[in-house]
Amino acid sequence: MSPDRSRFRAAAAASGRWLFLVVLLAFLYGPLATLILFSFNDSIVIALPFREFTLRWYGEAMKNPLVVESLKNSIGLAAIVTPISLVLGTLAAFGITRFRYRARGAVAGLVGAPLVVPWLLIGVGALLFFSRFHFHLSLRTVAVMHVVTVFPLVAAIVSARLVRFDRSIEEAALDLGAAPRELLRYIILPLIAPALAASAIFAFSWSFNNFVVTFFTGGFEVTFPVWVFSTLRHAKNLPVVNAVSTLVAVVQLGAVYLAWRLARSRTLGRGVSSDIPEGAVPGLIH
Amino acid sequence: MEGGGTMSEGPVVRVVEVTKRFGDITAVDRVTFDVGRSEFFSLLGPSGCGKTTTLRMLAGFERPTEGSILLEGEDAAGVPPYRRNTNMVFQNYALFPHLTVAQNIAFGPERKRLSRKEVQERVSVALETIRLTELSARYPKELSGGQQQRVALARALANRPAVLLLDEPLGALDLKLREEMQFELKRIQREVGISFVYVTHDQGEAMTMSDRIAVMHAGRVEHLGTPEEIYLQPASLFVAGFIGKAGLLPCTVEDVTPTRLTVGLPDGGRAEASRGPHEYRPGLEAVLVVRPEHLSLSLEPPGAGSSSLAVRVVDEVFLGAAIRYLVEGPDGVQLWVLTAYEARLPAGSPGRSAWVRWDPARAYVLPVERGSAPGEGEAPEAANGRLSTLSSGDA
Amino acid sequence: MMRRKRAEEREGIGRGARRALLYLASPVGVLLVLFVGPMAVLLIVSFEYSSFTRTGGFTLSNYSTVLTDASYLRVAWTTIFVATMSMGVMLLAAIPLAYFLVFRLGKLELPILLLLVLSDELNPLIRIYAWRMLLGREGLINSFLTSLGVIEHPIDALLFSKIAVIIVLSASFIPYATIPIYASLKAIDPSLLEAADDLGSRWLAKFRKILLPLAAPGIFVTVILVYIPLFSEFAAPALVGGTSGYMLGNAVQEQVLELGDWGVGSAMSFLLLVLSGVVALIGYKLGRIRRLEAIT
Repeated sequence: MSPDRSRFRAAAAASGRWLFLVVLLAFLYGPLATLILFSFNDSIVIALPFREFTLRWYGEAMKNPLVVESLKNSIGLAAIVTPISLVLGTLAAFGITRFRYRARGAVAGLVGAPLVVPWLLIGVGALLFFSRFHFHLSLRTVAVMHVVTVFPLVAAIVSARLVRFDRSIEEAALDLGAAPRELLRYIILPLIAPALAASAIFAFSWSFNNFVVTFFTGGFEVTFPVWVFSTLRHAKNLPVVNAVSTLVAVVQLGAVYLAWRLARSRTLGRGVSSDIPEGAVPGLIH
Repeated sequence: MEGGGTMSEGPVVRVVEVTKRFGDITAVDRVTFDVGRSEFFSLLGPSGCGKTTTLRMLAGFERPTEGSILLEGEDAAGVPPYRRNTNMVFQNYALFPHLTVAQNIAFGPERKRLSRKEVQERVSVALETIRLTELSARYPKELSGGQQQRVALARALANRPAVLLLDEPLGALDLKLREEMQFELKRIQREVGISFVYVTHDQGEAMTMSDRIAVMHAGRVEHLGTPEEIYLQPASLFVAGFIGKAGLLPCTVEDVTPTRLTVGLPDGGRAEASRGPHEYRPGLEAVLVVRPEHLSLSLEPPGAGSSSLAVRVVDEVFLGAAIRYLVEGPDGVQLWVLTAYEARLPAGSPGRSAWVRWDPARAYVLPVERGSAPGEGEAPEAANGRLSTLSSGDA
Repeated sequence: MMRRKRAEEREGIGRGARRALLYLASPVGVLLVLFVGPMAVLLIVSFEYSSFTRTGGFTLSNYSTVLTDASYLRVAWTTIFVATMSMGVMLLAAIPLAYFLVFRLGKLELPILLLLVLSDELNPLIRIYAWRMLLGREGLINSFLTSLGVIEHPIDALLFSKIAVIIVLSASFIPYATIPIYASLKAIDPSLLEAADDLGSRWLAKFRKILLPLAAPGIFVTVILVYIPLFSEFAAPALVGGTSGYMLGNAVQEQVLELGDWGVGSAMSFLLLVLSGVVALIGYKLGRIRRLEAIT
């Protein structure tokens, strides 16, 4: 192939790549961008053309008691679910990776199961379970089921870290005089802290974003995703929803972005692998 | 168990008939040795011989299946590593990545709940000993291999243990660095006065640094002695082949006197050699062990009555101050001969016939039953064929 | 050496089990009660009568209804269709994307990866709503196209249709689908590819012989990880699917929450569970085999 033709080919390939990326990013972020745009539109109907710029939808959102309550519920729920999931998940990770016993595969499978079973089924099953045993559906039942669904993810992330943990460091610590409790406190926990932090972030957003399980196991209290669903189900598109969604989206994306930056600066470029929890999921199942 | 007041007398470590089994595998088989105060003691052997397992039992990471270990006179059974007065330098250094060099070194003293001043002092002393004071605020990943190794050493020393256990610490270093560190380690050991138990598979290293060596093979101690004893009078074929280069000549014992042995050589000749602390009797299959530097090579036949063997020169290697010849005797037995440059053969010698001679006082006879560990015993014929290639140690 | 390691393991097993129990008591306990329990109840209820006329008592009628009733079969077909089409669109995007990320983007790799991960963080309901804004008859896409004069009448099929669900689901799952493929491509030893280049293979051959087999495990993982949730999706179909985009997830929800027919609802759920398990097992086995092939 002549140099000109191969250069042309390379250029064509490069622009093809760019086109692909642009289209993809438009596909992924376009909807969100327009949603944000129209949260400022001074019109109850969400359609072109764009009228005046206004903040009134935000005002309405903040005054709407259902909106405020659902946000509070979602945040409160995530705040409780996260620490419990961290503890259970870390315990499970330790129990699975640090000891050898015959039932180990089965335990790993059990812990990984909630990650593979569709949430719909978990939700329906939980609903039937709670009513069978006459448990009143409420935020408490939701919290409980969130923990069940979320802590396996924590276990997966922490396991992935523990498996790579250099045992000779532990032996060195013991040898130097650290009793097992000190070993945990001064060596193990500091070194798995990044995995714990990542788990906390994923646990929190998973719980906040969760819709299906919450929908089935919740009582009258409403969380944010459930509110969106109920509002939109039988109504047309509402700018109030745009406003609230924009707020939530900005906070969510902003928080995760900050966490990413923090993680990158601490691990000095070792970061990518710790940000791929999905890779750890099949790992745990195996 | 001895009573109190053992601090100033008796060996620091006593290993008594210790056996370690993993399932049906015996990794350590009735090993017994003592380590004295301020002694540099090595466990030497090929991989899988049980030396590391033995070390780990001293540290407390493994429990002996049988036998007992006494540290400073007290039985160490059931005592976990964090309560033993031993410290280990790991093969991969095992430095704490999230702590600085100074913090790493301070870790042990801090666990002992020493005052901050005392901890500081120990850290600076340790840093000075290893000569890395200026790197105290660095993290392990910023250091070179050699520096990390020194920090690992300092970290263990800061604890002032009674015994320092070292698990092939120099394995990952390049040759020049290794030689420097060998010198450093020996110096530090002398300076600090702590007993060292040093595990290695490098016989040159062990021979250079140790006061005494235990040569291990397949879980057993084949020879326990000073480097000189081990070199000149190896207790078994394995040791003879493992340490240095050795010429191993199959022979048969013919006559036994209190000081000398007369043996029959494969070419039909007879020669004299010295005896070791073994049982000899006429007719016994044995091996004549001679070091290359104790053989002299000549194109002229030796005089009558001297201990010699007819050979053919196969190869010569120029080593600077010396020449090393490879010669082949009857039955394909190969021997190395190390000759000073001045005493070398004329050029073009490979291919010619020659004679090797030795001083009986420098040749040592080993009965063949004392070969490799029992259970792995080789038939004498097999041993013969393999003998010449047993010079596996690094020159 | 190997024998010794295994023997060492066996020695530790007795003690290991006891200490592991300390750690595992709570997590496993929670799972047994609150995960296995509900699954068990699901199974039991699926075999019970639970309509207004009769509750309790063993029956297979739930299953027979689900498996034979034409309307359910239609819903099942829609679900399979939508899931498979979404899977296809997703792979069309995810595979090239993963490839570009690993091999062609250089400095842009991390920022784009970040954008992917971020878009996954977005609340799914917000995402579905945003698409609904775009797709409707008076939605933005239609308004935009009509105002440009590209089309005369708004495209109805964009919303409350299978296509809408496919679009929304693909968009939602693309990041999730890309990551495992990205991970397996990233794990490929670059010297393998250099060797291939050295030996003068053309791009297509390189792709077929090296990239595809080594990426296959990642692709299989993706398919498992995505197919199963796709089958049981119900928020997206509910909000943008309309009547033609009605999927199994909606059917379950309707049965359980609105019609009170827990028997049928749980029978459907359980069949979905079995289906998921089968898909997972197939994908897992295939992934294992392919990976072994790639290594040996």
